Amino acid sequence: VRHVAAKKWLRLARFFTILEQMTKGDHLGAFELTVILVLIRLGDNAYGVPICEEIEMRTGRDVAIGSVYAALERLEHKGFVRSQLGEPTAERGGRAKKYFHVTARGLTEVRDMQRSLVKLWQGLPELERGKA
Amino acid sequence: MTGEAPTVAKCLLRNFGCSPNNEAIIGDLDERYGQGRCDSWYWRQALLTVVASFFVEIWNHKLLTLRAIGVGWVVFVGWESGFNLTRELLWRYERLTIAVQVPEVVLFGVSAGWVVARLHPQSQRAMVLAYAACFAAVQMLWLVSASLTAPSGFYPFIYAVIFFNPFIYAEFFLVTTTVSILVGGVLTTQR
Repeated sequence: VRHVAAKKWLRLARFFTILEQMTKGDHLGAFELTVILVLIRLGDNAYGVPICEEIEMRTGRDVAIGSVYAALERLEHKGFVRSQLGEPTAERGGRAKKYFHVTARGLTEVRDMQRSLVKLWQGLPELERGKA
Repeated sequence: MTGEAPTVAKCLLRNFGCSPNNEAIIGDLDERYGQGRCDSWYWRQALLTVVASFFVEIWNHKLLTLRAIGVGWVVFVGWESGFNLTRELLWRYERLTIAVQVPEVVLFGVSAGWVVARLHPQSQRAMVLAYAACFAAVQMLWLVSASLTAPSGFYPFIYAVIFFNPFIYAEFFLVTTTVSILVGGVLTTQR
């Protein structure tokens, strides 16, 4: 009897997980697009520190490392990015680096988005160079 | 700037950072701190990381969060009968009541944190934090509403909250229980 009850509870837990996954979209947000472009730029050396430095250098704004990782986790969940653990170093207190790479699906999504944005950009006199 | 990153901030991040990449985040923060960042930068990054990762986790696991809060309150209801029994048995002896109820409150908090963390292995820290925050918010609401309708209504609110005996007890209960819930959760996640 206990075994059947435990199975019922496990099925209920799975139901919650499925419900949660149904509500997730597959689109790129503005910050996610920034992060994925930086990942493409950095190539094989894309882990937390250079990602933050590159974003700060390119955008001129400070970023919180927590929000960068939140975006990376979302991208990984959507299948646009994959990660792998690197080597631990002394300057990091013996902790391993986590490297991120853009997947083929991620590249396709960025290209699609670029195409859509360029189309939207065209023919807007308010956004032409030199106008406020 | 000193050679070592601020210990308390690091400890906070290690125990309450909810991101699945928490270790990598701590490593990245240490590396950037070693490049010449100041203590306030580390603190800001640590707090933002805890808050951001907490909200990301509860947003990603809304239903699990509701379940965790529900489970925590069920544990509370179970313990409440114990609190009431102590109060009924020892109501004549105020100091003894407090002496018995302090360990009771600590045990409740630790056990609630432990149960919530154990039942939500996917996202233990976020679920414990969510329950602790919900518990503290409900207790604070009760405290505010009770102080507004208290017999000492002619006192200014702050005076009543600071000096009126039941409120001191309630504040103590609120802080001790919330800290105990967090400790219970941390003890589970570190195992």
